[in-house]
Amino acid sequence: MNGPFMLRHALDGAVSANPARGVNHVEILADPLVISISARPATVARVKERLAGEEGLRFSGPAEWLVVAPRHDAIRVKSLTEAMGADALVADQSGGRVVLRLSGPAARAILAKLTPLDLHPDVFGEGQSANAFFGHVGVNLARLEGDVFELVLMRSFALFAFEELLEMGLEFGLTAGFAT
Amino acid sequence: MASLISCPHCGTRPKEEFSIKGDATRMRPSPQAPAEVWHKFVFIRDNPKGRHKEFWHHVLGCRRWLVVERDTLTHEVYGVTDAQQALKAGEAVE
Ligand SMILES: [Zn+2]
Repeated sequence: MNGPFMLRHALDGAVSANPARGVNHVEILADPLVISISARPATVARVKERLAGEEGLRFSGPAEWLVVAPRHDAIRVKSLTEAMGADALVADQSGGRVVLRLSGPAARAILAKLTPLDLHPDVFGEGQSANAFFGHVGVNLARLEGDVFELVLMRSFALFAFEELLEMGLEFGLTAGFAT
Repeated sequence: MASLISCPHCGTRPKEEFSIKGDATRMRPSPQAPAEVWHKFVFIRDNPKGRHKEFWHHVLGCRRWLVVERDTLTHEVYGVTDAQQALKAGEAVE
């Protein structure tokens, strides 16, 4: 994909156009939605209550969350902004983040080489998420289901983190490609 | 990854996720304070051996400032508090 920098995906050219898909696979979302929500100190409880049950909600900090979805959706940004009103700052971070989905029986073993998070299902269950160390950069990691993990990375660190992930997955035959 | 810190927001994490700012018992002087006081605040630090309170920033986690009370010799951790709570409780003030 050519064109202006902002319209180009940070991982363009990092994978082949027709990649093979193995059992352990990392999928790059082409145009995901990433919204950050930061509550004011006085409104944390109210914001938390209002966000309960929100689809794609990720924990980031004690007053900070992300909302992640596979497709960018400007209407959702607008409706969340309106729903939060003056209680929280809602910002569309989609252009500044890269979202990956790692799946397969070796997903946990691969992640264990990159992050100190305990990913045992008893501790880090389905729907759980956390900010953590990943290689040498930060990640928001979520377990979507059993062996499927979602990684939200800063755009400028994404290529580094992606290459690190591929290298750690080499012994498990990890494949990669853009989501179709 | 060895030294572990139990973040009140994120759980137990290795020190690599944090950035250490140092002495948490020192409070910023008033802008009107004399130059000697400011000099002491900005440049002069003890290097205590033993129990000490430090500011730790959980950079790769919740991005909150924490007050970690630990032994600088053995790295035994006595307590970790969110810096805002510590300030409210007057804990960070000597
Ligand atoms: Zn934390």
